Amino acid sequence: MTGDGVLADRTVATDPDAMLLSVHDLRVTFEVGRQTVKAVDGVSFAIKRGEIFGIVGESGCGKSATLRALIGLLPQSGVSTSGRVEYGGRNLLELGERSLRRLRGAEISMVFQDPMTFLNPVLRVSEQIEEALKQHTTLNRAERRLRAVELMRLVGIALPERRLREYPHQFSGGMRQRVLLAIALACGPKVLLADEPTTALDVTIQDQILKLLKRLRDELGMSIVLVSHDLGVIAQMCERVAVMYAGQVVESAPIRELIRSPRHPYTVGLLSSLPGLDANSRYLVPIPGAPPSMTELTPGCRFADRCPLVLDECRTWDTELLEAAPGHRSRCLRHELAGGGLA
Amino acid sequence: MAVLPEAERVQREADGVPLVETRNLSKHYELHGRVLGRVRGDEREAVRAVDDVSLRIMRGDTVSLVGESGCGKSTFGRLLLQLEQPTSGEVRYEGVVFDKDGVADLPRKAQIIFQDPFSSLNPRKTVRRAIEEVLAVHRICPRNARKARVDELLERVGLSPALANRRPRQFSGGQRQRIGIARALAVGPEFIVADEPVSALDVSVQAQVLNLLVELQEQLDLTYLFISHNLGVVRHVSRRVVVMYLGKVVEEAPTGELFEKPLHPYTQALMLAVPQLDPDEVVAAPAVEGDLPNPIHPPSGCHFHPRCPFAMDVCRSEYPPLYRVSPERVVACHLYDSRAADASAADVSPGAQ
Repeated sequence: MTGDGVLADRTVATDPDAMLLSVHDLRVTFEVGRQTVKAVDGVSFAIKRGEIFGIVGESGCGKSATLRALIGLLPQSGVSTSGRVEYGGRNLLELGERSLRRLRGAEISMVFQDPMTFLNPVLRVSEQIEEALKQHTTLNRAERRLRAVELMRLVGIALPERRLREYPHQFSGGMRQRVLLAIALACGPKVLLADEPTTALDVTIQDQILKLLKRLRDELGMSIVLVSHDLGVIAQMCERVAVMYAGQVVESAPIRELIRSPRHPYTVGLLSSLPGLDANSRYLVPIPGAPPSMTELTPGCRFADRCPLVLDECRTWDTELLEAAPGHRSRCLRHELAGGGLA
Repeated sequence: MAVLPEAERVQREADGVPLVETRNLSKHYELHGRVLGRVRGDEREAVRAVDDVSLRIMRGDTVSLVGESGCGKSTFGRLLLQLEQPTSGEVRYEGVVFDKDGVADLPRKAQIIFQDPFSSLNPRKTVRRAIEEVLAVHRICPRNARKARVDELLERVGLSPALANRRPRQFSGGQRQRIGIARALAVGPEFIVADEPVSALDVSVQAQVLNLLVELQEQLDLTYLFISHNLGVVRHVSRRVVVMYLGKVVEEAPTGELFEKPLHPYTQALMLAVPQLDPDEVVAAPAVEGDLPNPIHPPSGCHFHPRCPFAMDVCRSEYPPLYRVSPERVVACHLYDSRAADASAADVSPGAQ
């Protein structure tokens, strides 16, 4: 470990709230034909060591693009990224591909919704785990083999020696996600980026993987950024959460506050559209309309057209996150009127 | 299937004849390509997608079928519409058995809504043509009345008739599902199988479509079989719930009772596994260990026994019959054998925690 590393560790030990990774004004723009799509438009957040931070939103809100942008996983062409992603005293957005490569997998790794897409179907699982170790560590072959067995145990795969010799297609969906986790954890990353890691899984398997993620966080002390469309998943997993809508964070808060006293009309709408909150009514309370087209964004609040609290000035103000309560921010002029949430 | 005279239909309903009923319905898919096995004369392997399912759906009811992937819920829905032929058992519609001669009438009474309406809509046809086609095929209304009928159907599902000349890709997911519903309604059905109708939709849009389905049921007196893996949605829409596991019904109950007190250990696990919105309602241990078994070689005895925390010796050897535990509830679990009644698993239900 370098001197810098030791120093960094000491800083964290004295200040438990020190941020491990912070994102400032992240912007991602896609060029689609002659149009530009601001998929991520000024997103900022920071995560603490050992914290599970959630990003929740509906399809197209920019949550996955945000996550991928952090470690340079967006396509090279037709995409421009700006802002700052600070980690270990560096701005990750300025790193070259080689430095990023050294970082990815070793310090920051990622798991995705569909593990099969990221596993090589013609390589044994052992080769794929050992590959990660070969890239980022100085372990020799025998050590790598031992470490692979350890990792398989860590993610809860029974008979690890035997299963290491198998191919991805011989694993069920849940087991594949565990394998992907084993690869992601191979080098003991400090941050795990998880993009809808359980969305393709059945609910009993999802439950197992979520609990595994929590256990791993507790045992390994890493931070997790969890992206999901499912508020239940976020509520069960995260300490703090950011809600995204049309490329922007519209609300960020500790999870209990967000669920019990949401302060943005969109979050309120999301919660009230969920079946099961009011068992007495046959009708749900949906959010009317649909999200705005990302190619035809108008000034002002992007939720204005669907908002029950909308005023004229909502359509013109230069939106920003306002402090609704300590640690609780909302991109809404009328946040003090937004109410609802879990009783 | 013969059309019943109205008087007889009313009489049958009074007698308690379900609108749709299955008796010991099974669908097995044989696996091919095991040449050696065939040469050796081995018994052909088969996936028992639906295995001996008997179910009654009364007129005006909403029955939900829940379970995880591969439990046979979609196959069951397709069997009801004769999109698949059963291996054994029968389907009755208003008490009349489906058979090869009588199918012609069925599509006008029973329709299906799919999860992904985009893949069931022709991308090159306008919405108007897609719906007019249904009217034409089933000879539902004369050519000159079709346009008006399409407009009416679109309005019914909350779409502006002005959009009728657009193609499917110009619509959002929620709008496409509305088109799928309009197409199903075009024939004036009384029974609709909704196969994961909102699973592909975002929650705010999901709520819009669920409301539409409830509204249509009230306006048009529809009967639904609702297939879903989402327990929240199921709880919201249905009056009765049937839980399936590996092709078998493991529990059936009125919705309120099921969610209040699930009886089958699998149902309990399913409910415990749903991530709760309340961050303080935390369950530390996974609801159930292990993976779904291979459906080609399901475990002996009760299929759930390898994952069941209450498994007893009998569970490993004998598949449990459906025990009737109250007038409206059945459960396929040895724990509810009257001889073992004291060993009730009631105390482990989520409600008790």
